[in-house]
Amino acid sequence: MALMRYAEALRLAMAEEMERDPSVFICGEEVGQYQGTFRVTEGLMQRFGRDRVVDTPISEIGIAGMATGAAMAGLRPIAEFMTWSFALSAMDQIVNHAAKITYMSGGRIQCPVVFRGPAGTGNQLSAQHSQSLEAWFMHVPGLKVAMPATAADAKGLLKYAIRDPNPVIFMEHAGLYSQRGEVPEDPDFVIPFGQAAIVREGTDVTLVAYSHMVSTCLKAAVSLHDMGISAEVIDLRTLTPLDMDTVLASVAKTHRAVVTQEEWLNVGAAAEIAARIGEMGFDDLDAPVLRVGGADVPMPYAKKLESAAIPNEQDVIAAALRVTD
Amino acid sequence: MFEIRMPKMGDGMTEGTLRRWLKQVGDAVKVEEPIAEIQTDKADVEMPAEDAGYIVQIVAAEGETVAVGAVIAYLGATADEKPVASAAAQPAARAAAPAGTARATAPTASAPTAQAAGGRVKSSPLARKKAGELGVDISAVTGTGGGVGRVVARDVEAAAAARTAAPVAAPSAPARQPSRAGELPPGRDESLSRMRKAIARRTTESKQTIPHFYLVMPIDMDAALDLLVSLNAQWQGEKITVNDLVIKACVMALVRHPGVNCAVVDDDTVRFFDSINVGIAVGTDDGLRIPILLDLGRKTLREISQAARAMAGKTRNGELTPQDMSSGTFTVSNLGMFGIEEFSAIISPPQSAILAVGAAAPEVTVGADGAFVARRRMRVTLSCDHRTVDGVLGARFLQEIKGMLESPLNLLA
Repeated sequence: MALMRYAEALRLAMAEEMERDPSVFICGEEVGQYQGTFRVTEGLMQRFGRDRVVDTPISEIGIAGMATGAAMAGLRPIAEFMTWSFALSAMDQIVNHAAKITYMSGGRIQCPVVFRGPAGTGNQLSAQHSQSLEAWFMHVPGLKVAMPATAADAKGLLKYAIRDPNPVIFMEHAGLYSQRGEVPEDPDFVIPFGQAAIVREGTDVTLVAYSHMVSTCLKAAVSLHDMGISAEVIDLRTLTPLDMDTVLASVAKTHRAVVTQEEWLNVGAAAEIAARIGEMGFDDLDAPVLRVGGADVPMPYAKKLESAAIPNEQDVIAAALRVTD
Repeated sequence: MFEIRMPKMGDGMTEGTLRRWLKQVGDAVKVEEPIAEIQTDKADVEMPAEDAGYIVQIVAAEGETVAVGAVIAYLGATADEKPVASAAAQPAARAAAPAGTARATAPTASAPTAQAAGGRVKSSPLARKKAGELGVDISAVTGTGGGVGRVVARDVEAAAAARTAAPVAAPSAPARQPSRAGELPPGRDESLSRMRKAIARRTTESKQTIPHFYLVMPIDMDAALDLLVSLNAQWQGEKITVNDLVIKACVMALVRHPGVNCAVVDDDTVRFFDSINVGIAVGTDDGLRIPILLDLGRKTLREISQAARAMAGKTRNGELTPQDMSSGTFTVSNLGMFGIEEFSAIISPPQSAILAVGAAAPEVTVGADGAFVARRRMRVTLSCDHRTVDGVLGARFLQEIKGMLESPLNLLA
């Protein structure tokens, strides 16, 4: 175990996989010479050379198309988007090509590409750079979606993503890059997809979270504990595949659920998870399943308005109090 | 302005049907004047006014079944006084109307409540599951959840706990049977009267919850029947019956064996009654009625006979009140007048026993000297609740009755 930042854990994961497998390479804007906008790829070009850490022109569709083609040809590309907001111009490559080629080739062509980069809200990055778009990718069959909440998960999930033969949407959170955590140094440490973690045990209400909302829910759980409510916090880790077994087992124990996300509430990941709890855990529910999410507005730049639009600890506490009333 | 509410007219009455209004809106009403006819499980009763005034609004329509305590009308000081639409006076306790009965349109309370329109109870899925497991009637549970009075799991658990803490002697009504309309041969369907439904409910409850066993005792009635002839010759204008003798014998046996004059209160308790109140099962065209002869412990044969005759008259004339049919501690059912030799009866809950009396008919028996001899014999069958009455107690009780009737001068003591 070593104490390191979330960004360092991501870097370690990529370095270990590049050491292990020569077909793994990185491409993206400013990933090499500049060493990454968020320093995630710091030192990697120096260590692995220009052929394996490739600086690209400013063209997301070009990055995504090149990475998809390279994956089809047998390499294992890690394509970095400077932020996931920029990936929108690459949607055709991701949704129509990377996600579908294995199916359309009858399984003869695989596409083991990882698209990664910072997602999430905050830091006064305003409407075009501060948004959470995971539901767009969850919606598409053929894509896997991972959103780590801790440094250890960042390493374990990214290593699994690189080894996975399918295209993976790997959404990091800019607000977590500098968070420190204990990370296993074992180069064989991976976290398989579809295994949620119970990060705090409780008996009265299940708080379902992923990415940055995990820490928000943990803070809310501490406050709820002081109010006499025992909250269980689940970190989903991956949204596709979705570990409903862990969620349903928890709801069977607590009988109440609050599903949280940074995304806009309308048609978000929480809507899907809440619907599945209703479908599969109906008889266990003692209260409606509530969602906590962002305000349905383009993200404001003004600090106070931005704070009002991003779900926080108080929103989670209010929802938990409502379902335990 | 007075609220007129559905009165409680006897033990166990939870709802009543408004058969007929005897007063209409605008009519003046005097104290004690009958204003409506109410039908309960047991009888039709006129409801007297408790206050004087004018009927200003009728809430319960004729034919409507409402819960005890629900407002059925408003009485004003003057004929044109306007009824006050207070939320507390809404007929919220209204029970389900019988099928096919038109219901008066009633305003509904707007306060947040689990009882939505149509009587649907807001409840969580878990609460419903738990209610099924614990046998709790969710419509009778007060909801506290979600700020809207939703019945949640804790409410069901509290209701189940309260039920355990204060058990009720009468078990809950059996679950409603699914309709067999489709399986049966064609015929004319007729809805059951309230009395028939009450008989169905009580007999089913009795057979399903009371462990019955039966003891048959033959009784030589020659001496008793001879006594009857001489008594009736002596007491002009009165007619002592075989049944009167049997009741008197039962009363004396109950005095000797108070263990038969009891009821199960709950799993841990049995109540031995202070008084001996004997019900007499009387078949009428409408169904079975069991008027009760109260406090017979110290009454003479003649007094018992007079009380029985009075009750029989009330029964024939349809004048029985719910009070007349409450508080029984033992029952006698006699089908001897129809030539029935013997039968076994269903215990009337919560009582512990019922005596079924057959006909006294001549039979060839073996006399004291070994010769065949014709004697008038009667068979009685005691149905016992084995939770309170064991075989030996039941047998001794019957021996007592047999002894009294075979040496009938005892009955005049």
